[in-house]
Amino acid sequence: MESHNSITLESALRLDAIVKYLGVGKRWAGQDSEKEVVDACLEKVSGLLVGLEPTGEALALKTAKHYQVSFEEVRVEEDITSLEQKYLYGKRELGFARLREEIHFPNVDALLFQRINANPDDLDRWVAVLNLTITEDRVYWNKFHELSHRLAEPPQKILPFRRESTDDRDVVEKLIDTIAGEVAFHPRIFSPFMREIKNETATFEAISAVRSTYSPSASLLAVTNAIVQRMERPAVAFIASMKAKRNGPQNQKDLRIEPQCRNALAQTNNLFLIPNMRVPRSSCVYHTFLTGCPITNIESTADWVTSSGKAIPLHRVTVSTISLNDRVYGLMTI
Amino acid sequence: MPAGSSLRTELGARIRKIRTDKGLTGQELAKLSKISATYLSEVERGLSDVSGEKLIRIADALCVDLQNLIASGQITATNSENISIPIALSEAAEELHLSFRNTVRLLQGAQSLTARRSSEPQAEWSRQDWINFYEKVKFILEE
Repeated sequence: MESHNSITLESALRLDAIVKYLGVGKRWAGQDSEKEVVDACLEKVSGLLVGLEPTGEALALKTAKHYQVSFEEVRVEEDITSLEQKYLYGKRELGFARLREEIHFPNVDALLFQRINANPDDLDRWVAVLNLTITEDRVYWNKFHELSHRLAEPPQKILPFRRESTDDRDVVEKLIDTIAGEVAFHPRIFSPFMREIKNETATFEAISAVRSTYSPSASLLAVTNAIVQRMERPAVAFIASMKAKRNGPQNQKDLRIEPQCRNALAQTNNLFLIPNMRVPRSSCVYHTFLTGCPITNIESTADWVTSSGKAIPLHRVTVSTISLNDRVYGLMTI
Repeated sequence: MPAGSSLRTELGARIRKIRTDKGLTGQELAKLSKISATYLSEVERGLSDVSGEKLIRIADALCVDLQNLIASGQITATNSENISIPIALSEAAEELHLSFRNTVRLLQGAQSLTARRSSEPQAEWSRQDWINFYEKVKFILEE
């Protein structure tokens, strides 16, 4: 169980505020609270599912409307100008004078404005600006991340502290990510898709089919991770790309693994991949990298060893792959 | 005098009152808050600004709600929200000869950006940052 000793006081206070706001306790109590918080957020959204088209996009729209969050997307400079016209000049929202500078700041994914001139029933009391100038990959995820802040955290009556999600280890942001992962693939509407996956071999063809129906704007990785987490068999998702060995010569690159997601059954069955381990030439992952063709193959993990000879536990696994840009997305299941 | 000076004095006095009411010495509160006793003394006398993070630590050590702690040390704005003026803004406001009301509006405008999701942190605003922000929004403030 995570204790308050391992987190900052500000994060601890925010976690306490979340459990109080959601009515699941008085103080944050680690893993137990996390489950209760996630369940409470799912329950809050459940009321919005009645009569809803069972897609992630429809869920995002309805949740945003209910919680008065308006999403704005920035792809080009003109979009910034347009938002300045709308909010700074039109609605006299001073905060939007910061928009251009903020969007140009390196690696800003999203900005959330709490409007100061909004009426209580305005549908854009909160404006989430998504920065899509570099990539649109995270648009679906970022929407649910911002919505999860609205679901879990009490509105700020005063605005003395700004949350900056710059640290991946921040416990509040991790909690919000967990909520987002559950709400974005709400069991009440996503379970039928999982039933389809359950009855066949988990391949990227099947995952892509789910993605195109349930949440076309979600990245393939987001959908893959969601499916892996909910699969009823041990599963690990990973990405393979050409990288150098850690602390090795940077010009000597091999196809190496970056684990993305591992479900609870994989943990129970000791199925895992070691970060940055080399992909064996015998694996279909390597063939997909060379040919670009998606493959599903039954393999043994016997050949998966690190350069120092460290092996992963022996399993007979189904490996499914797909090539995307210079990377191979992989799924390994028992 | 910068708008923030009297606020700091009020906030410091409030901290001192709660501390003494609870029978804590300055040394004890400093230790509980993980700040130096010298710094706490300066805060209590209104000589030093206190960051949000340290203020949370002090509130936690005093076992008081943060809003209660800062309630009497803050400006009441036109919409009854409690606002704490950063020292850099106080300096900018003095240089720009801003009214108290516009100083608060400037702060509220900047803080309406409640969250930014980024892999890189942003430094706390300097006096010049506040001046630059004012230049962009003065057409609204001067209406």
